[in-house]
Amino acid sequence: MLKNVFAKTLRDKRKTFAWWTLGILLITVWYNMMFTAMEGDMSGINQMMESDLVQALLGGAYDLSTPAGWLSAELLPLLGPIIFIVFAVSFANSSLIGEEEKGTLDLLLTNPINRTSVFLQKFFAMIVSLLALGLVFWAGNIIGTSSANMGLSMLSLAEVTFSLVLLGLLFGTFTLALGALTGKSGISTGLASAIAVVSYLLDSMSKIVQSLEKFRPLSVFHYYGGGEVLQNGLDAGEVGILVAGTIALFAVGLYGFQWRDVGT
Amino acid sequence: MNKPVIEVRKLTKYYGKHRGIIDLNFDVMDGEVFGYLGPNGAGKTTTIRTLLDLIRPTDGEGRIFGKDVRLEGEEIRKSVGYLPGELALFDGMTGEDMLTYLGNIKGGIDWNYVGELADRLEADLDKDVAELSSGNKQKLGLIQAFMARPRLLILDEPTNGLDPLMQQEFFRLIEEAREKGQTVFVSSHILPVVERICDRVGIIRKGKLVTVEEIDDLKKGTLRSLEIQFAEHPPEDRFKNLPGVQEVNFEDGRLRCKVVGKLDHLIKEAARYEVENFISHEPNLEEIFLKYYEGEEELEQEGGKRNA
Repeated sequence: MLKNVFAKTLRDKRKTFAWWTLGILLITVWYNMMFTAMEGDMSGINQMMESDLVQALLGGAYDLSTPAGWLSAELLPLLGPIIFIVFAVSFANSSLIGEEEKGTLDLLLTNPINRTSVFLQKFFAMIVSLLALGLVFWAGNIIGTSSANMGLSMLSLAEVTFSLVLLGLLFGTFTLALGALTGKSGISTGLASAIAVVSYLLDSMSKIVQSLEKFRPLSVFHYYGGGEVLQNGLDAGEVGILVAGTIALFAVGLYGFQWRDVGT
Repeated sequence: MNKPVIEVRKLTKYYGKHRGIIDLNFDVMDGEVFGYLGPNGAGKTTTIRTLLDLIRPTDGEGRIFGKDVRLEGEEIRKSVGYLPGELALFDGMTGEDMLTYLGNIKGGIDWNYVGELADRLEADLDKDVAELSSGNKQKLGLIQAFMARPRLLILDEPTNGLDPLMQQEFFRLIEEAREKGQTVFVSSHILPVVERICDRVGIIRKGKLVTVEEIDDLKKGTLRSLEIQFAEHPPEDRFKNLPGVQEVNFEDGRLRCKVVGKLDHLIKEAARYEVENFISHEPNLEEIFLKYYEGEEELEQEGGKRNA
């Protein structure tokens, strides 16, 4: 685990990752088990779901009596993105700018290694961690939905998990890139969080407020399918936009990192 | 000693409007131990971090082994060992882990030599680095700088936090490096450290290089504060006109003065009387700088007058 920057970055996160694994398994299994518990008496909740406010906050109305609707009510539009975005942003922040602010980046960059390589290794460590987190999320949902006999296919769960990984990756790359560009963790994490919240609100509000409809494409969340992926599968266009955004941000970060004074 | 290992030309760095270093020019020759002396904030660390390509110069250039530090940094750093002035170690690992990690990145490490360095510096490699005292962290910093037996060592304030015994060991490491033909660039704000180990010294103040000279010449020009306690008050006049002796003053048989260069005249004169105690104060940096500062300030004043 100390062979190179990539492995060491993963090693640094091993304890954090263990806790996230535990948390995600608890949330996903518990959330799906609740489906059976609530199944008998959904009418009240379904009625509540029809209110505009609830629809706006949760991003639309779903029939909670169906398994896909149940997952699309809260886990997929809200909890999932929070999990993946928070994990990715904090990973990105601590792995590069965190090291710079602590001063250990000096010790690393004064070795025969170039900045491109360091940036790439940090980036790939983030991808691997997010994929691993996706596996945990997927496994938790498989365990949860099958225990609750919800009959959702492993493939659809994998697809929706994949779109969560891409969403997290986009925000993680944004944080990494902005950090590499500015060297300020406050700016990169602050802006990433702000964009996530605004995107989320814009996306969910625009579903019920007509005048906001035309701004919907501006929201990152617009390209994350959530519940729709569970029902209709991944949309190649949406995946393409999330991936293209990630690549663009990656390029900006990599370029910016070359030219900057480190640790000043 | 014939060709330069480090060449600094017109090297200038501003942080926004803040002065870092201004128009530095000097060479460090192959195999020499070069001291880089100056008070805190003079620009020593800025110079070093520019040479290591952590920060980019506003103007001018630096070359190491004849290669441009900006364009061929990675190649240069294969043969450079660096100790940062403000050493920060990786979290969540032991000293051994940290050296393994850095060794893997550097490549080609003789691990027996690393073990030998750790023994000599009495470094604790089993503890989590976060639990180490600053002196013990510094030992790890020194080990990682020396571990690859680099052609060039760049050490920023290397004696920081080291106790006197470990300082002696560090001096021995530098001696060995000199014998092996390694080049050493060492910054310090402590004059005796530089005097002890260096062949030549560059003095930097407020971002500008004041002078580069042989360490022996520097010593010749050093103002040394002395105190001599006599058993009986000696005739004051005999001490007032000795060559190199300045600011003589007497109080109850105690002579206080400052001496430039050799002590010979003063000692021979003092030996005529009964001496009870003799105290030589380490010349401090401010005093040695005084010589250069005074010259410079006069120039600055002259410049001011001319402008007016």
